[in-house]
Amino acid sequence: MGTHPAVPARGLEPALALLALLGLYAFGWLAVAPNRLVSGTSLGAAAALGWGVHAIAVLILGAVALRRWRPGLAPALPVMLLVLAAALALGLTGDAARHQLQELAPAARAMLGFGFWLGIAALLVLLAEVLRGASIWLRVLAPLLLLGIAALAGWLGLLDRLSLVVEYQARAETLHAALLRHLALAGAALGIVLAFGIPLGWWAFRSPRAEAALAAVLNAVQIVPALALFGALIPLLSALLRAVPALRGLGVEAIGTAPTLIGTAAYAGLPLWRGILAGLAAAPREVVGVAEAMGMDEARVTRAVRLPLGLPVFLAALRVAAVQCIGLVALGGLIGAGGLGALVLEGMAQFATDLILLGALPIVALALLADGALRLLEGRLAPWRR
Amino acid sequence: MAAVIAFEDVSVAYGGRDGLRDVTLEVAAGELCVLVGPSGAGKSTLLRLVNRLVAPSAGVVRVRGEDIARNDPIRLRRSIGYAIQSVGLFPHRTVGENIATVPRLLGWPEPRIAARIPELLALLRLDADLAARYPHTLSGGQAQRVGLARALAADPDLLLMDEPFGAADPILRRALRAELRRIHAVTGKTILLVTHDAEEALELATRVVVLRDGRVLAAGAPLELIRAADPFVRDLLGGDAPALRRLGLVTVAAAMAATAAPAGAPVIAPGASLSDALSLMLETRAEVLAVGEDGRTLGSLGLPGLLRAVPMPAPA
Amino acid sequence: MRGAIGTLALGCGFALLSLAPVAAVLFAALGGETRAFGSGALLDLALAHLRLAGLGALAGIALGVALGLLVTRADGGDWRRPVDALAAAAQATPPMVVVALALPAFGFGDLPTVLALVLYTLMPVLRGTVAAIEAVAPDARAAAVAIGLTPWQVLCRVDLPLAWPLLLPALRVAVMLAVATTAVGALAGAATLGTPIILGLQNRNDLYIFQGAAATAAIAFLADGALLMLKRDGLRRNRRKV
Repeated sequence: MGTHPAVPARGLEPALALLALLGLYAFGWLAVAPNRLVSGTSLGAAAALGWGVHAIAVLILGAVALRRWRPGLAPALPVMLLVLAAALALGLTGDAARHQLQELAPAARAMLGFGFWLGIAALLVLLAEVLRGASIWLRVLAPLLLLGIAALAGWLGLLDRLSLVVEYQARAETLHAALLRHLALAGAALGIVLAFGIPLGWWAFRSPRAEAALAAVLNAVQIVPALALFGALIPLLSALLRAVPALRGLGVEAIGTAPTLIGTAAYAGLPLWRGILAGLAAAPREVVGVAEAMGMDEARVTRAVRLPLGLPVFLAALRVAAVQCIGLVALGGLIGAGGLGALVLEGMAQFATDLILLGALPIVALALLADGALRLLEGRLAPWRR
Repeated sequence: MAAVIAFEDVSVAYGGRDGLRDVTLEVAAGELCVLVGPSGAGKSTLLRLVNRLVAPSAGVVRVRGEDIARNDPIRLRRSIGYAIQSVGLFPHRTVGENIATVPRLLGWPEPRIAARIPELLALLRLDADLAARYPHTLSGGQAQRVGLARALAADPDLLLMDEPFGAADPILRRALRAELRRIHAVTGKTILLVTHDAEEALELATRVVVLRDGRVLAAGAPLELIRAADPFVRDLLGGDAPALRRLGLVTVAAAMAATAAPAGAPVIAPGASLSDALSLMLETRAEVLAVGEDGRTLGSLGLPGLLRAVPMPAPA
Repeated sequence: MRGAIGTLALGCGFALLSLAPVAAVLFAALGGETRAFGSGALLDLALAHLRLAGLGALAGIALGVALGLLVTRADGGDWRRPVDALAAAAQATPPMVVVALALPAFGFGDLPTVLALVLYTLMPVLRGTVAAIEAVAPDARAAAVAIGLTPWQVLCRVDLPLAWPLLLPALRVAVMLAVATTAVGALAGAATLGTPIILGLQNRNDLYIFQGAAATAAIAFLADGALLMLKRDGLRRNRRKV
């Protein structure tokens, strides 16, 4: 139980709305360039979207004003206003790109500017903030609605002239393959983390000396920067393969999958291990004591008391580990493991913003998705806390 | 009658506090035996010996005549009800599931368990709707009662209670004590209870056992012990006002006369204690009370009768 | 203290391993690459690494603490949960992605790295500041207000001294993130200890990779050890004052 006040922060939503308005009115929204590798001339949202920019602003301000001065109101109305604002911003921007590129050569691009990203990000965070107090169905429905609108706009071809979409269409297959590869790597790394973390967590729970030793090792790993660990694994694995050539037969290589999985698992191991340990110790002592006094044997106390009471802690640890795996696997792109990280690096090498975004956005989206889904599950699986 | 619990020359070696030295004690069936003493006297240790949460370093503990060291502790524990101060309800299980814990462990058929839960809620005067709630939604008093219901769930003949009302506020404590006395009277179970509160011990016990530094100092009925020779026991149980304590232990019914009270005398119930009666006399400035219940007059209680009912030992 | 000395010793060990003669001899013995990265160049990179990481971390910490103090003073509402959620979201973005996204905006060189550092260290510091300030016992603050301290005095004499020990872990996280992210900055063309790693990967020179990795690990352990010493010192001084 925290000591923080129960009153929500009143300044947060206006601050986010202000950021969204800054994106709309103070920064470049759309940049028009003769080809994909130069930055081109920047247009503000007012110039690019016309009257629509004010409509978006009014919707956002309306939602925040409702929240501020009608605090008793159900969140459904402000949520709908914000979803509408986001949909309008997306649709009008796609339309503006088509309009701007009408008389230019086919190589010309309309790139989304800093203002767009700032505005959309602030709008989405604001939406998430409003949704926090909403019912479960609204929390599921609103993102789905937003995704549906985006998909519909894409399907109707409304967004086709945005450079990000052009880039996507040119590289759809590569992207899908990279996405699957990324998921496979992250999943495999998480599997390794679980396979080691659970027994090691149990061992540490049983033996304080094992706990101290494991904590020292895993904490030390955590201090080594990821790039150094991933890098160091290459010469180390090379040396190992020279010493034991038979490992090659098992498909182990010094670059690519093996160092990526080992490095990722080594990092994500600490939060998971710590969570297993904390979860096993989560049951209050007197509750365990009563369980024993009522005639539960050790196995039963573990199964009926320790595990269910530790479940939210286990899930929180799994969430942190999953998010870390998704992020860290990106670095595998650097050492030949492929995945979305390789796409980002290719974009950096070409200095192509859209390609960087094409790789980066799914990484962030995957991590947030994993985080959100597991958070939702935590709440569902611990009904005694509500 | 055979002793339900017997400690035979039991010692528990701890470093200093909470150990026990050569304790021999029997608790007979149907007794509500209260262990009282200052903290560190070994009360809880003695209690926890019974369900083998603590093992004796010497001596034998018998439960229902059998040496418990020779039997399976798990089966023993399932046959004994257990309630503690912090209640220790399983936070991840509903009230109903909490109560069902030991019946489930014993493998009762589900219909029998399902029928048992409302029975126990009713016994503890709890709302039947409570069964579906999680413990964190309960008030302190409700949680204490659910803890007691859980301890009684499998209908054990023996109940161990370690400071069961320690966390409750004074008003709630009174109510819970009355509840326990009632349940003891209704069920006739053997109860071994630990408290550090002498007043609680005197009010609840059919027999009080005073412990100090790991030894049994005195054991007997509450009224006897208030008159005990040992100054420590007298101080602990009698406190600053031993006469008032004793008044609290005798009921009006035991001291009243069959004669009718003068008209207009204040009425007191026969189940009330003599200290309640004295208090009523002082409040109303009446020297004689009418004893009555449900509109029927049973007799009267005057100040001389009250004094006769509590003979005090001559000053030493 | 033992923790700090152990960490510093590990750092020194890695530093030793990264030096050209040591690493080359080691690799020769294992039958690997022998073209080593010069120790002098490595030292220059280490200094550049420290400068960049320090600059970025300092800016991120200053901004995070200032923002944290600002929001906790703003309206007395619950800022911790939204800030926690935002920080979790920011943490979901790996350092490489932050550096990559800063690249088109600022071009190759040090600037995208510094920006990534500021953005990346900001959220943990902000979160730590808010959590630390909100953990200050309300009684202490109420008493300070009751005896007539101005808001500024409450901040300086009650909130900050009481929150300081709780803030330290967040600052340590920020510095460690900065040291690690600076290495990734090599991808955006910044001269850091990540540079030998990237060069080694591009030219298939395992010795370069090893030297760069060892040097990066060394600087991280040394930084952590120094912070551990600082923390001990800070806590001791704090205790004496009370």
